[in-house]
Amino acid sequence: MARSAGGIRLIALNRAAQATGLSAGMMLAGAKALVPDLCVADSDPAGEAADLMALARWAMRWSPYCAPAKGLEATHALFLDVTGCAHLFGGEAAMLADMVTRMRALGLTARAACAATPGAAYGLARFAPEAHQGLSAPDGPALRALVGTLPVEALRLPGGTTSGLRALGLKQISHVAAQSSAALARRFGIDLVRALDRVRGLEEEAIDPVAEIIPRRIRLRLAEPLMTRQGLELAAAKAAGEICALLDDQQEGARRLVLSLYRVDGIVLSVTGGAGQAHRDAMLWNRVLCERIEALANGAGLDLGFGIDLVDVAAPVVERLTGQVMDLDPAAAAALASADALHRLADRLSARLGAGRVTRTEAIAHWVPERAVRQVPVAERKPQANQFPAALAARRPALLLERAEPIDAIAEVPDGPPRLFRWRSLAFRVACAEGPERIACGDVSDDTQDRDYYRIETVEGRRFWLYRQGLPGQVDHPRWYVHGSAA
Amino acid sequence: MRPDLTALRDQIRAIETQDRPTLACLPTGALGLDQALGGGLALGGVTELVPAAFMDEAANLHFALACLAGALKQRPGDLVVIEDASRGHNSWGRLYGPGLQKLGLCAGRILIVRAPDVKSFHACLEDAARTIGLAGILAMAGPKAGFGLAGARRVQLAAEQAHSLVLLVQGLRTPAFAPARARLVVASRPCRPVALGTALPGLGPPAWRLQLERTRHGARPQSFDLEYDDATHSLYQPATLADRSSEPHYRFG
Repeated sequence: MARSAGGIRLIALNRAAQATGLSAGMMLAGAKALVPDLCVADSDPAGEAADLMALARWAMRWSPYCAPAKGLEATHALFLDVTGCAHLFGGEAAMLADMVTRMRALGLTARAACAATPGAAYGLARFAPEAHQGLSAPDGPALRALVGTLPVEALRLPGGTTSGLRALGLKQISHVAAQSSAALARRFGIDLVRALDRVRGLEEEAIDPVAEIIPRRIRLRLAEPLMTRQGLELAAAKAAGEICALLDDQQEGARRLVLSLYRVDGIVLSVTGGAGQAHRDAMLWNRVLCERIEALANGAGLDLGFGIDLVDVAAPVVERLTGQVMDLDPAAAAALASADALHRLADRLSARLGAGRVTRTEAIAHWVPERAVRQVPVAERKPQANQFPAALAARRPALLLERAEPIDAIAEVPDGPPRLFRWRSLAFRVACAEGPERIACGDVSDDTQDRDYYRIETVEGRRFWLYRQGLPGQVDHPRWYVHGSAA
Repeated sequence: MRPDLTALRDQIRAIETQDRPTLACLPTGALGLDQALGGGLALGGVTELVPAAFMDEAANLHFALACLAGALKQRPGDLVVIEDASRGHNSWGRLYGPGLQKLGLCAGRILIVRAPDVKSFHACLEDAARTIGLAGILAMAGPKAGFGLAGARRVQLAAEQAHSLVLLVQGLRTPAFAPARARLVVASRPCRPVALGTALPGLGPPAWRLQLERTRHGARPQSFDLEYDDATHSLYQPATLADRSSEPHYRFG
């Protein structure tokens, strides 16, 4: 049920409710009067969309081009482009039967149809009589004749347009098609004409698939569902071996592998392994995938449910990789081997800890100290620059606090270095100081004041990087912060 | 002692030493320290650096970075830094690229790994120590990141196989790493100030006081005063402050 202009209305009904004579669009009060023990729940469009998206991912077992129908919100339909896929399932009719059976096994009521365009397939699946269900529709004029008998709701247009057509007595698609398209466009807008062409198989409609198009992919269909971690790791090893053989044939290497595990009950688990450098070493990929499976098991939990019946390994990012020639110069060969070893270490650690935890520092030309560096995950890209200006580096500490911490300081007025300060309830006496280095942070930082930085050393030999916020002329009582140590 | 027991011991010793490579060292540049360490920082072993007091943790890390700058200068390959992120290292700040460059550590040769917990910290360190061709490994341990005997031994064997240079920077309360080749206690020390003509003098080169607590080959405990030269990127013992009474090698006659 959902709130609407007149009050709370029913949106959708299950079979039992339909049998009692209720219908969607009824007021809740009226429905309750007819069926006093009616169970109702609030409608959840976002949840429905998410469920449909999950179903679309699961339906990729039949075709990679798969998407929820766009347009009206409550169409509850999936479009699949099965060009070149149907023969794998024994023809279009057998494929449709397979879809309906599997959806029914998930507890869903499904109707499927296959036609030249998504629009026609939608109309036939939703509104054609039972006799036409599960058949692949003809092409050309025969399709137009078949679609002509469907009601105008099959056009997938907003409710206002549909009821407008009905008010004019145009109840079937053939009635609408008999009118001149110019008149229809004038009266109802160009969308009606396009919808008409789509449903009659005259205009194509693009399917925006839920998954990116994968250049290389391996699928293992399993006779018996996998129930154990060991079985899963064996399957991952086999899939990694097969995809590496495929990559070897194509002289390519993968930067990323996505392992998707299709559960019997329609849920897809997916793990991604990355590499800093494209390669096709099956053993390494297997290790990375197993690390990711373990990370999943340790983190969110690996719930295999009633088992995995399809294992899919996809290589979304591939690069050209021809065989490597061994270097005969021992020094060069050793350097190559050690660079390789480092790459592998970085890949393994990225897989185990997550890409964001294995990083390199990138230098950024920015004068605010905390913005002059960025940590770049090695699995994602190489840092663009790693050299800092030498004159600047000479005045920077080796350790920088993530947030500068306020301190109580006693300093020479108006603009001398601090002599005494208290940080984390410990007192420090300054013995040496260098500065100030004035950094204008006014334009970029939240705090609008410039900073005077000092490198100082305490009498015990501890080194800090302090700053005064606010220049002597600007504020009466400048505040002091510690921003780094080991200066 | 029973003869069969002696024979067994000999057998075990033979098994233990047959695959061991001869142990090499990487000189730090400070002669007295290198001699006491048997040539320098151990290659194929773990050197443990411990702060003398809580406030010396930053100085300890600073000194470790200075040592590794020497390693990067002398050895090819990259430096892998493994942080135990559960150690609350925020107390001293995170490694900062420009400051590292000043010490001679180029950001392009440093890989930073942040292990979320102690278990993965241990696993990462072992994995890195086993990797051939790294210039060095810096492991920053938190107070709870003490190694068990078996774990420590695994890291040690991994480092021996790959000739890795591993510096283990301990927190003040981290339990000791039993098979370490050497254990150094680091304290900060006032630098030699530079007269600038201002009210406060300027900062000289960073300085530390090191206490050599133990080494594998049994050098006696002694202490060293060290400084670091930013221009040449090397550690040295300042001549005027060298504690000659504890330095028998420097005596003549």
